[in-house]
Amino acid sequence: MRLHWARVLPRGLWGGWGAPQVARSLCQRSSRPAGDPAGQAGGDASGDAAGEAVGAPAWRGSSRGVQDEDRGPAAFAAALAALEQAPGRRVGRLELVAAALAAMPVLGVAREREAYHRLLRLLPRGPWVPRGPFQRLLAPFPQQQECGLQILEQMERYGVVPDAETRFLLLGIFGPRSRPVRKCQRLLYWLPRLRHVDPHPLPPHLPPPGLAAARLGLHRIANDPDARITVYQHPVPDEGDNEGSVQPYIIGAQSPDQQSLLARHGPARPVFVEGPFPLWLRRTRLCYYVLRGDPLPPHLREDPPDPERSLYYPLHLDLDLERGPWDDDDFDVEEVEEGPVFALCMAGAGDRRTLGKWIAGLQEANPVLGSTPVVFRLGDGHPPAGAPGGPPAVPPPPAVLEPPDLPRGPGHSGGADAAGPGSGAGQ
Amino acid sequence: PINCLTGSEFFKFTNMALTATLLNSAYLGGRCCRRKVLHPLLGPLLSNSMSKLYSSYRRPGSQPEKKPTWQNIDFSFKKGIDVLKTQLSMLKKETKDYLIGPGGHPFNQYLLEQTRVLWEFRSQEDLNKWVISSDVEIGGKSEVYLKLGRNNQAALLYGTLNTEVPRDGETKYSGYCSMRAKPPVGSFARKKYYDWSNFNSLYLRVRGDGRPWMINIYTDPYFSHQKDDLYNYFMFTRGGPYWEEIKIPFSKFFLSSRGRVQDDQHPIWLDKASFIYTLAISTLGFTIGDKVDGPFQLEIDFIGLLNDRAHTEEFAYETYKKNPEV
Repeated sequence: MRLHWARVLPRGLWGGWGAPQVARSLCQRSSRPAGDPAGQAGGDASGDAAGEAVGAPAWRGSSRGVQDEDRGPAAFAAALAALEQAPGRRVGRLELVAAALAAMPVLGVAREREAYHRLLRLLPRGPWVPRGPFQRLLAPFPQQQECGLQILEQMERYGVVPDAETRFLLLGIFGPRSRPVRKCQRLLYWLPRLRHVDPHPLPPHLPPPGLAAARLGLHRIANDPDARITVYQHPVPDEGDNEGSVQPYIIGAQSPDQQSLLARHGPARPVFVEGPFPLWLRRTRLCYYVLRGDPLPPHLREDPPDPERSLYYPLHLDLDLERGPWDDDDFDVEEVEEGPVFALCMAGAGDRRTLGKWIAGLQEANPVLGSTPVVFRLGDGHPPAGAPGGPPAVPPPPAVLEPPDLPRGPGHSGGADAAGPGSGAGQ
Repeated sequence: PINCLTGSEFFKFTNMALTATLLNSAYLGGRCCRRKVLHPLLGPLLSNSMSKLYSSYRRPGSQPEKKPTWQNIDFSFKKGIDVLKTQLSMLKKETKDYLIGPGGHPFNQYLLEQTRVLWEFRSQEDLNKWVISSDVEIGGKSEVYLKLGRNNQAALLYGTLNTEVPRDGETKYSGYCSMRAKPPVGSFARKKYYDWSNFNSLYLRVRGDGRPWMINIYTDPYFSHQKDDLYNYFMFTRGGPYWEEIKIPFSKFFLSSRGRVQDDQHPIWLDKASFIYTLAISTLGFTIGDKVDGPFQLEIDFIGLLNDRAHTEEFAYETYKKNPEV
């Protein structure tokens, strides 16, 4: 006698040995290793004995086991649909919701509102609505409301804005004046308002790390709409992360103002190539290098006064008509003295040869670089703690926050050993 | 479709702002319970660390404090005399400043000023006015360090963020690092408050690496149920080799308590109500918690205040009842 309905009885941990087939298949999908042919042939929901040994916590850790065809809304929908059709009373649905919430980021559907709607439709509509003011007074259905709150909290964490359908589902399940409905109202107030708070927004879909991301990053930090971005070397191979590839990409940005500054800097004073400095584009970390010089001494900063200038009338009139003479927006603090930036660059590899190629490319637009000594100060950017010179000998105790002793102190003279005798390559 | 845009940064901040990102128990801020106010002479004799004195968070699994507070005090006579001398000289300076004008500045400066520099970072003692912390307090693995930048001209706050959740059964989220200013303390360990009523925006000259930060203002409140209240707003850095001047008006700061944005919002009070210090600004802090594992760095040149006459907004959020009965 086949007792199909008995499958929905809560035997064992969710996903464990006594668990229903569908839930085990949900877990098996995520625990199967990536290149396992036996697992691939096993397909879905067909009760392989191999899955029986998998306990509930085991599948949470291995996200690398999820294959591409198992990800996505289709997989999540299939898993939940099989469960929706399971006959009988749905016991254990709070645990199911908790397990599904934990599985959503693994399956890649955490940013999709439809998946949360599907999850909300599993919950019953009616039994959890308090009847009357006295029941409402007694904090009714605390665990169930907590479960609804967990769903909304995950939506909030992944930035999914609820919509009218979400609110409708929540009203049907929990009733008005319940905590999930209030939280939904709160999300509907704050999330759309805080969406546009970023003054430098990035496009919603970022390119993968590589030349395109570097171009976007350079455009972002160039700080000048006239800056010209030039690709000095195309990557070979074209796609993928270019670390260690045959030919890394080199892309640089320079604006006309920077070109004139470099020409004025003169061949007598050296210029420095510094880096790598970090730039984050949401979740990707890029590194950029800077060509800059030391700040000029005070007597060289401005052009010498023209002996034919008129002492009666000003030659330049900078009238700020929006401000009056009583307005003073300057801060009483010494200015940070830093040398001018002449060019920016991002490269697939950060060694001297690659950057030397960048300097050679820059020389075509700035002939003065041919005679200027170029000093490479690589690794002088602020590296993460512990990176320069290797990790500290004794790891600090976890509760004490003290900076490690970096081998180099701050200051311009810090990069002396990176500057070889005379200039680096690049001519 | 609306889902595409949710990949942007705003969800990170809503997470920081709206959820109890870190702690299920008390949130660590610069606040103090009224009942834990120290005796003025004994205050300076205790250790200088903020976290122990001000927080009531206990790590799950750790033993509760059995030792009474008075046993921690070092009752040394010589040290007491030294402390008394320091405090008396501070009191003398304060009296002189009071006679000169509000905040130690002459009246014409107070009435006409449109900018003010609050914190600048030019020496080690400027760095000592700040306290750094990270989720190591709750058992996480993020690191944060503060040092002077190049040529002693800026402060560099750097470290690594690690969102691995500590396995204590209670904590659900992790991964934050923060830098908070020490609250101003007068002579004999009296609390002083900032008076920022002449200004309407915060001015920061920073150079970040593109990661978003959150600025928290703590007003040391009189009532203990407000002790976890913070006024927050975001600071987005662009990254790059150029310094960024970020102006954040005070009308944009929203109120949150223990990490949850409150329904009843009100603008932050910039002046201290002298009859009762209900809302008076005590500390400022920067936090990073954008759920991305990896190193971060922020260089800060100075933090100041600005009276932006072009900004006429009083408050950016509605003050009427926003979560009415359905």
